Amino acid sequence: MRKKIKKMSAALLSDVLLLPDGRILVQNLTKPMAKLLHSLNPNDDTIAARVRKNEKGL
Amino acid sequence: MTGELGICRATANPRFFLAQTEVTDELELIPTFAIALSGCDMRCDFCITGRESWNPGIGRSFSAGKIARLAEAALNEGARTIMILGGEPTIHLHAALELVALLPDTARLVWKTNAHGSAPARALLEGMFDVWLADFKFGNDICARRLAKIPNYTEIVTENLLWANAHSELMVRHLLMPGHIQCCWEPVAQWLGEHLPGVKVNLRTGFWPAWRAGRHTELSGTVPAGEAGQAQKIAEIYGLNLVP
Repeated sequence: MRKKIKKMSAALLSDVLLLPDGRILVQNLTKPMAKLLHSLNPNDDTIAARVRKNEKGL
Repeated sequence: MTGELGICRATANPRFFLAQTEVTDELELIPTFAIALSGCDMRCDFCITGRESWNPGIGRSFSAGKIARLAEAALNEGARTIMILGGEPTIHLHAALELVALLPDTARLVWKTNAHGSAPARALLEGMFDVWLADFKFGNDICARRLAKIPNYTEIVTENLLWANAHSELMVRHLLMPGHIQCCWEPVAQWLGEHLPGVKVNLRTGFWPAWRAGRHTELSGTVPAGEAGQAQKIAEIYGLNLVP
């Protein structure tokens, strides 16, 4: 049980809201989530810009 | 710190509910290592982190030393900035300042705030942060009282924004709320255009009906595309320097 709690405490957290019209809103966008969303829709400029900034920062 | 609790209910023992590298914020600030402290002095019914912001007892116990080590690791892995936020971090000023003292001098530090702090609080913050990322949520005191249960909102926030601009780099955020273009966004845009010309403004249109937003009919959905477009035009009219 202790191991499980420790693992959970290190988890990253993003909140995603999927709208019926296809829009996706995100709170606390992490790098892995940004990459995932970018792979789902490479044409979304908002996410693409964030993925690019992240890649430059590494 | 040992007396009666204030509106925020914060004690001398802060807690935090998030400490991770994010790419959500303004492009020039990301990736940022974000540290979110629990609790807030405002009571926004639409708060995206209402559970954590309304209850300073939620989350993990804050240790400045441990968080500073995580922040340094994040910087080494490519984070451009370190951002302290909430809730509202001002209610845990002693902890925030303790953390700043432990961070590398070269780190670019961001103070993400509701800009509703007191004059003594901001005096203690002078010179501590490179960037103030400040909310300007409401364009009038009636909406502020109805949606966030606070009086004298515009007077306090505008005073703090002017101070922040004079003492650091200021970036202003406005979360566009559905149905609040004329009463909130336009007065905010007008004031920024007149009093802080050229200041960076991030107009956020991704409102979602979180926490207790459903108590207010107009806040029970997202921002319609038409309103987002109208808000952009208002920004142009007042010559705002919008940043992504």
